[in-house]
Amino acid sequence: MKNKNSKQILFKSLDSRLNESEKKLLAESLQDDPELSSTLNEVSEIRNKLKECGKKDFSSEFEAKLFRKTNSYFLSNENSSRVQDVFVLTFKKFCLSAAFVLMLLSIYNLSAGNNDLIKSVFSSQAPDIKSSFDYTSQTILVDTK
Amino acid sequence: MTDTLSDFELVELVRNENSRVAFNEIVKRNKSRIAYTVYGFLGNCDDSEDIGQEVFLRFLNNIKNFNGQLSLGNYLVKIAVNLSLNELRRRKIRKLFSFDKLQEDGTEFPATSKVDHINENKLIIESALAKLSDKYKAVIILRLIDEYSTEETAQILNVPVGTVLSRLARAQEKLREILKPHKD
Repeated sequence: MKNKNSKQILFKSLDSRLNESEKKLLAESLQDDPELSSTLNEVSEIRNKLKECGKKDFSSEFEAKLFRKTNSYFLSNENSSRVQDVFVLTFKKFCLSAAFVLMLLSIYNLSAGNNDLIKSVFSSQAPDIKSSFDYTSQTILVDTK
Repeated sequence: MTDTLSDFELVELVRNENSRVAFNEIVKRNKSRIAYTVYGFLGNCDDSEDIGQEVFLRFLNNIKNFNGQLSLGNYLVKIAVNLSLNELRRRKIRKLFSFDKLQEDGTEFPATSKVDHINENKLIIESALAKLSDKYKAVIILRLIDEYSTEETAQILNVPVGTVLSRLARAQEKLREILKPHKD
């Protein structure tokens, strides 16, 4: 049981920090148990061999090949943003021309003397009682029978 | 200009402005670490470079999913680990349905006449690694070959630190048993 526990602490010591009691137990176990110390040597040797395995990088063509593959992604995104830009621009042009036409119509109406509608829109004044009851401004159909 | 930007700023540039230059900088910064991981899992073969390219393509296509919880490098390594494990599974399936005499892990080893002493050591380690199950192989490659910290390894594999430590212990025990006949 103690052996199993010290083996666990041995492996833990290689990859993480031990607390004081674990450090003490490991030191004692390594002194008393030659099998444990040989395990430590073997594991350390394996770890060194793994590090010596070396790290290999990709070939020099890696980036060029990758960028050829990503071309379609960037192009499709560029196209979709271009379509969006054209749509927004057309909408803006349409709105500006509509506003311009409305302005021309208003000027024409004003110059022709038809300013009642504009007055009613921009005037905050309420219609007076007299004009409200001015029957002459309305066409009254009278049944002559 | 882009080399002074942080990883997160580069991602934002790719995401919002469709910047190729920023993407190229991301590739330049992370290419080597992806290579170490992919070659660690798959060995020196043609597939490794394709998987490496697939890592960056996946990242680009799902760039909206990158939320900065992991660092960019570790996020890419996580994709590399997942793709490499998928490739290993594919190889196992291919091997099951194949009558060819393939190497145990499917890696192409060079002819023995060309192998020098250093390479021989490397081959022994590679074949020992190939005998480990995927979860043990992953912790050994990330922690002991790529030299990520235990915490980073846990983040990349999405498991608790305790699990990484216990898997490392078991994996090293298994490697010790496998490598016993090759002991000098």
